[in-house]
Amino acid sequence: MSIPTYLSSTFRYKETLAVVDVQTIINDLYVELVTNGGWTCTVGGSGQTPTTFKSPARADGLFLTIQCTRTSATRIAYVVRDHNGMLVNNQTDTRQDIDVAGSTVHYFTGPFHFCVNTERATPECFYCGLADQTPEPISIPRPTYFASYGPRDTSGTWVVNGYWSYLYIMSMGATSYVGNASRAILRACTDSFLRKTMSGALLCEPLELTDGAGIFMGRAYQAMIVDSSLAFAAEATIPLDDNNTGVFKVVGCIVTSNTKLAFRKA
Amino acid sequence: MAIPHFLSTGFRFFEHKGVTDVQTIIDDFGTEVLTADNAPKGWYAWTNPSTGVFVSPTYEGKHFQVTLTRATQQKLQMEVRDQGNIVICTRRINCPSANAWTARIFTGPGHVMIDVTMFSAPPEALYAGILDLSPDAQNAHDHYVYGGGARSNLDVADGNNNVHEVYMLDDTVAGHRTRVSQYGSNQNGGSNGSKTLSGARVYRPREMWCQQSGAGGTYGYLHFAGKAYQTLLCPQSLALGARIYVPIDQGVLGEFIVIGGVGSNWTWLLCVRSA
Repeated sequence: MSIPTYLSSTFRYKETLAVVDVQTIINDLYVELVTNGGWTCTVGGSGQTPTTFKSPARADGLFLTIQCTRTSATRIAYVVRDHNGMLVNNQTDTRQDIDVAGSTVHYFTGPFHFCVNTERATPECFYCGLADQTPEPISIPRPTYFASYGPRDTSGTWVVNGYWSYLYIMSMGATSYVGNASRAILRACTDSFLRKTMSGALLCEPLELTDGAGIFMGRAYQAMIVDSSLAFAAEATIPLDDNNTGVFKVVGCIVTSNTKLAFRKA
Repeated sequence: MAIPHFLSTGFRFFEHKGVTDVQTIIDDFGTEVLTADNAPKGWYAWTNPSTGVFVSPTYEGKHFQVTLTRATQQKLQMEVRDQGNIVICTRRINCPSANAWTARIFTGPGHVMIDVTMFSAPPEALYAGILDLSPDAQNAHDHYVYGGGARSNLDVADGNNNVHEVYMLDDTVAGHRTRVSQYGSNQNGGSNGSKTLSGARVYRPREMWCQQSGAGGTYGYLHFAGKAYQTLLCPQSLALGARIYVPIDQGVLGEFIVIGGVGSNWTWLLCVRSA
């Protein structure tokens, strides 16, 4: 075996302790994405709000942009657009909070994935990306962009059905991105089951995307679905192929069907 | 890339048209598993300790046993036993007397599928095998034998026969349940993702789950037991008996035949390797 495409992209991880102002998040993202990650900054910059980041172009020229805005010291807003400028998180913007007293923030980034995770009593996570559509050739018939439904809507209200599997995605034949339904393919055995092998090993699987109508739309880069028995921020070492492992960290989205989401850290 | 382990075992396929007596199927099966012995091709001869009893070769430390019985000219019975001689299931097919049938026999060190196209009646099948236990080690547990088929040993088409419903050992009790992985939008199963945006078919391994030893009962959680060898789930839009060509590695195609005698569920059917 060799490492599959969706785990072969470059990735970065950063953790910042005691963040008391979301401008720090924008500044950290500038370092992670622009200084070190091959992204460009098309609006604003470090120390500025709003700031817009543009992902490096894929082989077919496609990219996504993420606008980050400090709406208050403790609240950040994200706007994700595809290469055509269409709004992926189709609710004006998606918001995320930190604690007044300060929160630890985790950043998981790469050319095709973006995840910001804030440690709170109820942790909050925003993520988005461009999917690996193997075995399809890239961009045929069209690319798959996605963004998480939560953690907070434009008014700052916690999205109670913001399960990690609820994603904005454009279904086949649709004309806009829709996000209020599960768009992850979950491997399941309909009896009561654990995502563990008979010997107790953790059973992980890629985050595969669907339009909810039977269509496989690709895999999120550097993301894994893990059993919900793993604690938030726990780290799991997962085989990538016969010879390599990766370390994935559980992020703070709402549990779906006894599963949680984890992004690659190392 | 490399061919996945569960598709790397040896396999054979034999088709017999115009069959009118199930004894022919038993005889064909014996010829397939007892005479073929070619290690480079992954063919290892089975043993035949008594009439109708066929014991698979020990493969990666695992083996199973099937007993084929001619109940009548039209009724074929398969009893499946695990490595500890526990009966996993006893199932039958019932063929019509009005016409001849086509029998397709798929075998290998880890799998058996007898699929009979009956023309004047829906196809019926009998199957059994051992699981590829990866990602666990191949000696990680002893719940690795499975089986199934169209009818009970009383010839009743009881419905315990679709792509997701299989007989295995749960704790210490053999029985059938919906134990094959499904792919939906939540833990209640479903049928998402059986084709790509371009319309290409998506295939999945036939993965099975069961209760660990000592963890039985109503509230015993199922754990991932392994994958059936040389078997895939395929979209149910395919015709029964269709020969399909599946990429099993970069630049490598495997030929699979869609099984008619195992019912569809959640838009999936079963196909087994033929070439």
